[in-house]
Amino acid sequence: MTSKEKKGLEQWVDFHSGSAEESKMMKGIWEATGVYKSSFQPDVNKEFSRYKAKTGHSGAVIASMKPWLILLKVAAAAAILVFAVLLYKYSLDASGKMDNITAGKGVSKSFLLSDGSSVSINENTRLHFPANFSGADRRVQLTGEAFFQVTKDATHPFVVETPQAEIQVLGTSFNVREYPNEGVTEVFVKTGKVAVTKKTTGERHFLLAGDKLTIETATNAAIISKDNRGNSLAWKNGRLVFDEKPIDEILKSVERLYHVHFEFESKTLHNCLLNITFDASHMNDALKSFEVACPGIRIRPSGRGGYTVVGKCCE
Amino acid sequence: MAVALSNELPDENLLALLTQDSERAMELIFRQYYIFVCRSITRILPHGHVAEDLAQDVFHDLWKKRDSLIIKSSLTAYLRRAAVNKTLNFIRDRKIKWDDEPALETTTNAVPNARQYLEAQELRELIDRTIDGLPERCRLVFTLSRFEEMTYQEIANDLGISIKTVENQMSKALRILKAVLAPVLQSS
Repeated sequence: MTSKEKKGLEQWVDFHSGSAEESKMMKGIWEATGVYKSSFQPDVNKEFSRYKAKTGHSGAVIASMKPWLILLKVAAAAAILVFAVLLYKYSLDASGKMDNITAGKGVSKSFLLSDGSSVSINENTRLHFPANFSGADRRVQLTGEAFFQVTKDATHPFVVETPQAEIQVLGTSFNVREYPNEGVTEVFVKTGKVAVTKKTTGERHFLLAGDKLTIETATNAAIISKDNRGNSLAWKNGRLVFDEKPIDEILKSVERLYHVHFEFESKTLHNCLLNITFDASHMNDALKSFEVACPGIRIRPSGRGGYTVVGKCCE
Repeated sequence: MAVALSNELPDENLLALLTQDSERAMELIFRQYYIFVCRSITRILPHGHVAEDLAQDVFHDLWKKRDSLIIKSSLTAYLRRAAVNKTLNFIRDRKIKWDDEPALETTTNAVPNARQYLEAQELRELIDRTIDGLPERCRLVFTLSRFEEMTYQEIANDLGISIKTVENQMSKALRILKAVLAPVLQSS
């Protein structure tokens, strides 16, 4: 017990006990409660990464400022301030500065990272990344949806972190989608190999080209399916391709792309199988392609982003 | 980043290092004290996620102040004090309600089985549950006294309440803890 702790216990005894037995009890409570919250065990490695990402730590350059500061101390006070601020800003730019790129509603953006990897982000998406990658891995943080083409560098793994998952790759192209309101994490691999770790369970999934992984946030249920046509990239390529797929499934892709909703007038209609390729960059074109592929149907707006599908297709 | 992390460095060395090789020192300090700071916070405000965020801020503040830092006591004491202040400020800013009703209906239900709490893990859980279950203000006063090396007067000053209130809340906490722990303490 440290001397301060002794004082703390003395206080308990002075204020709250009247007998030797009660004093003994105070000592017992003091000792027993020492374990309070001792089972709280945060993940220090993970938290340190988060700390680094937040503060833009990079050390060498910032540390080398010190001799400068000492020199400057002899210079005029006003000049010191201005210069030091500029120098500090410059050193941050040159080293551990973090960048944010955000795309709002209806906008997507493409850009290069400092290692030459390219990223396209979909609407309502934010990517947080170091202006210059340093350290053991190339780590970026994503909320929303993005497609990555990562340059090969076996010694510095590329890691995409989302609130729910960590996606680790060496050099490949892949798509990650995790919007906060959708309750799922989706990873689609176009080329190469990817490892996805669900943060809450630590469960790891390995994906190859053409694989699409879907993890439900609430249940942790994980499904790996095939997406050989790359429809997961429709938001970026503006093209959806379906071979012998039910209209139901096809329209779901359209719903997801344009945030609309389809209802079927006939209950049998949505099972019809279609072969269809359509330009998905404009929704009206997409809907026209439907009507062409299936001349019996009409798609009518029903207000509030809703559409009703009427008519017959395969019956 | 592969620094030898297994050996803990004494405070003075870390502080000296912080002025020379600040980046590396900061990593060492973070790794050595992060859990300590988190636990200090979570004893005052028992929400793991909030504790982690506040702990991050504590280290970030240290980083920002590293050039002008004067630590009179030890780094341990400094970080603990910083953690307590950060948490109390957070509580004040958020106007977290001090409900004098028990947060959980636990305290006395646990007593009948108390004799069976022989395993260290079970005792730990019993203590966590009992302290977490104290009324908010009562728990806050108790944890500041038990863990943060604060006198009743300091607690009263920090929380802006009278020393009499501190005493009353402490009596209440100790009474509840006594009821729960007496069977365990007497059997050992």
